[in-house]
Amino acid sequence: MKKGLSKFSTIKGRSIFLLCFFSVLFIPLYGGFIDRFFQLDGVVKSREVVSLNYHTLASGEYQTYLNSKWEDNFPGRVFLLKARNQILYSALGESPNQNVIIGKHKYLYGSDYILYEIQAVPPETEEYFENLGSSLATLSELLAQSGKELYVFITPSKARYFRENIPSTYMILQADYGKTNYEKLCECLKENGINYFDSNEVIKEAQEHNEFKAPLFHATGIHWNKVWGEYSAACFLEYMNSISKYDLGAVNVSETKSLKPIDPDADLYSSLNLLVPPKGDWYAAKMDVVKAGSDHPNVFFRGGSFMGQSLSALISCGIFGENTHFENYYYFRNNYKDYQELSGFTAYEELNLDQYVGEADIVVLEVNEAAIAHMSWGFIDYLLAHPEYTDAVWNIASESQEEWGNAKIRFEGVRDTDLNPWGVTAGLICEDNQKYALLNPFSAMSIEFDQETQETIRARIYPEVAEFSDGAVLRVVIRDENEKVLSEYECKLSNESEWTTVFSDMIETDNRVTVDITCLNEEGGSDSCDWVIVECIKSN
Amino acid sequence: MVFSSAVFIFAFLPVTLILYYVSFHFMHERCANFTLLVMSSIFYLWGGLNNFLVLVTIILINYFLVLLICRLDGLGRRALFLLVLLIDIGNLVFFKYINFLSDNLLLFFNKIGVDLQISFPFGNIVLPIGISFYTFQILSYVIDVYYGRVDVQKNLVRFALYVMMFPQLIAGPIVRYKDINSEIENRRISLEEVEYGVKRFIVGFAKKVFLANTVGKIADAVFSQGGSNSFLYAWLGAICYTLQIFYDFSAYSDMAIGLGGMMGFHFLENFDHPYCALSIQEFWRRWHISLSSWFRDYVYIPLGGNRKGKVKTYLNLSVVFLLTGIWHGAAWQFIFWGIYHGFFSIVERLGFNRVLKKVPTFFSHIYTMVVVIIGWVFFRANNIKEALHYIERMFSFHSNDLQNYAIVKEFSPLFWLCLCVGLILAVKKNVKGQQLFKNISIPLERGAYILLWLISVMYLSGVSYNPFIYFQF
Repeated sequence: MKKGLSKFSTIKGRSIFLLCFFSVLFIPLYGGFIDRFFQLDGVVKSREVVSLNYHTLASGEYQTYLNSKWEDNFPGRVFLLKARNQILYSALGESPNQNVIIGKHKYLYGSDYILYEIQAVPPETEEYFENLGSSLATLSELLAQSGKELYVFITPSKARYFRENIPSTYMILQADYGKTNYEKLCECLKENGINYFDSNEVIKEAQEHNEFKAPLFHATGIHWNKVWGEYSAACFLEYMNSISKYDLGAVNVSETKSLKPIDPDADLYSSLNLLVPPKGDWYAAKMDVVKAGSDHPNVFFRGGSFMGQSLSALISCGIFGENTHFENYYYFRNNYKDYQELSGFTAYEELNLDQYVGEADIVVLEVNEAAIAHMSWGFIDYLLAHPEYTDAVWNIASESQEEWGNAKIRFEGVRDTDLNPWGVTAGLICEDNQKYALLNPFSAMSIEFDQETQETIRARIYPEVAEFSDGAVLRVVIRDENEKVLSEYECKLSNESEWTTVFSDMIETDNRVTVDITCLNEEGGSDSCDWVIVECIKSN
Repeated sequence: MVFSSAVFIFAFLPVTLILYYVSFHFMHERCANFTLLVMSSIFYLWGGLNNFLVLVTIILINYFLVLLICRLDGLGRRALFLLVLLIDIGNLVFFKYINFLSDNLLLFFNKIGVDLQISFPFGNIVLPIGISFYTFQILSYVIDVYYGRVDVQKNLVRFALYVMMFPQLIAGPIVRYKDINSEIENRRISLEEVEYGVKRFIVGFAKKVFLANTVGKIADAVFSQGGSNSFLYAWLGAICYTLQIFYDFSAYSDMAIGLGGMMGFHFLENFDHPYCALSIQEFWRRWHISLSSWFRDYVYIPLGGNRKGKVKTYLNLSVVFLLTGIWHGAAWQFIFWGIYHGFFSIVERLGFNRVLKKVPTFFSHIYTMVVVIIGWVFFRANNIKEALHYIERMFSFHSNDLQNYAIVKEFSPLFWLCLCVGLILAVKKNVKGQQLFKNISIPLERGAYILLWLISVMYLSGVSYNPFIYFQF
């Protein structure tokens, strides 16, 4: 009897064991129900659909596609993933997300922030900052020509404020390259006379006076707390008021306790996709207008996500008129009523910059300390390559029209300069009894041919200084007499002092043709000695 | 399809087991075999229809020609036997080695100044998954039938099942027909054996998901940088790869044996604590046992083994190790790896064995592990030059630049835990996979297995890094 019972108990135990094993295998049968109670945070990347045909089936491509689809979507995955992450986080102190690093006292960091802070990634070169400074100075000048103001707004890095909580393992990577990107940027902006506001300075002062209870950064987030972000924005407004031609008024920021984290105070925690919500003291910010400004200039903000907790409050308070908040790869218009996404961070051609920058009175470039290496994601260079969006070049076109052989020529973007011997950025010059057109970066010329002319236009960097130039780019637009664009292309001029053909009468038209040539800077390069001379010769 | 993938665990396996058990219990065993064959076909089809067609063709050719061999005698029988061997080996050579051979042939003629002015029309031949494993299984069947060691299998489904059974189809162990024939024809499934199979599968699954994958990340990070600029990292990378390849492959064998157990099959062990070996000879008695015993029985012994004098023995050993290297891949580093192991085996036979027995165990263990670890560097590197460069880094004690983000970012608490556990389990002789939780009460032991299973499955759900090294062979 006892033996029989023992056998029964063994069978029972074995059956329960196997039942448990199989119940895990059959999770997809009931996992969908469990998943209803959870959801995953993060970026969703869609997979390319593979169609079913003999080729994809024979190569196994279709099966691989099905495999991936199942792995991403099987019922029960959400719960399993969250439970896995919770075990890794709680039991092992390990980050389930490779972009999130868990520091001491469970302080969460984005990896880039740590790498720049401990200089595991070397800071950018002097040349980078020289180019950046020169580009910003040029942009500032271009904007100023049409009455616009340019400001740079620097936001803080969590890794610098909580350096002591960076994991010890990462400190192996610590290096000393001298000045950090942040220090170099501040110097560069100062040297080039760019109006910039460093939020670190006001934060430091406010922290000394215990201005707020809210922490600058929560342990669970990568972004600054809104209280500090909006406070910095308020100080930035004060700074702008002190140098701007506009009266923008003044605002005040206060904090209130909150029961739940205010987005994005726990964004890093959310991206870990854990089961248990974060704990902590949370604070909400409130910005009030204490003195209304008499002006409401239009504004264009370009930067990263730190703008979302700071500058956005200024727009929401009604400080500005028409507004564009262009953050990462998406933008808001009309006081955050309209939202649009671009296909990428640098897909600027999808943006109506002609209107958004064109209408702006103030342009603000926000840059976070950890993002200086890719400040504005090429936006500065893009604007310089398309000066028409700043309204500068095209508004100061020279009125005079000159004869140049059989063509009529008109220059645009003509400015006085002491950087070349001719004293102007564009115009007709005479060298060795030959008449050439001179173009410097961000100037342009428009040549009008009549139908009987057979001309070739060629250009090169002025030979005497060619070796000091890094080349230039000519953007050529050919139009017919009805302003219809017949052709549009770019010519790159190298510094090898060779003539490059820019236009030859290849366009078949019986009517008048206009050739617009805009001189631009080589992308990311310097405009030093980029003196382009253009000549017009008879075609063979 | 990989065992440690969501599609296998949550779709293929439950469906297969249900269909298999239902057909086994409620229908005839033949029906269960057919079910298993169909599911194994789906399993292999997952790697591509082309691969499947190659496998089916080779199965059909072998099935009919071996039947024909049994009907013939004399020269005709021998000629047909050689033809079958030629077809099987030719199939393997074509898919696995033809590009390597043609490239090296052209290179050779180029070096001696002969411009052949030809290009081989092979293009990029895709290697069918598991071709080396199933070819060796088929060869063992053909040879054993020819020499009368086993009876010919007249049932096509049973023969196809022997070759295609999904647990061992793509990464071994290389199962001999004589070891499994009786179970294909007649087997029983008991709760006890299913429990054993499940436990063995869980252990293999956990070994793969945690140990192999976790240490594999560091190995990849270090090897991708040619050993980095630090001898410490170079050693760490080599040790991690040593652990990765062991846990990766032995985990697959554990899972294969476990799956076999769940379905009433008993596959032989493929590993027996190889990193506890005190010599290279012993290592090869413990590592990939099904392959080394295959070469022993079908190459070494037919060549004369150790019965024809010392010189012939060493020659036979060299042949076996050369073939072992070639079996692993069509690249010079694999060939070198085989020769390298063969060299140490011969040195040990020449007398070094006696030295190893006299010195304290610790030293012979260190010697074996250093030889094995350096051998794995050749195995892991993309070519011999890269391997030599890596080994140079391992012994450049003056260079120790630890500032390497790609490596440091992989240093997680889980990595250090897995490294420690992996090292202990690898060198501790008495820990067998199926006895992972011994010395505790049975209910507790079962609970521990279920917990390990659940955690492993949870961990799998978020894993993006999940390679299987032995798939490429």
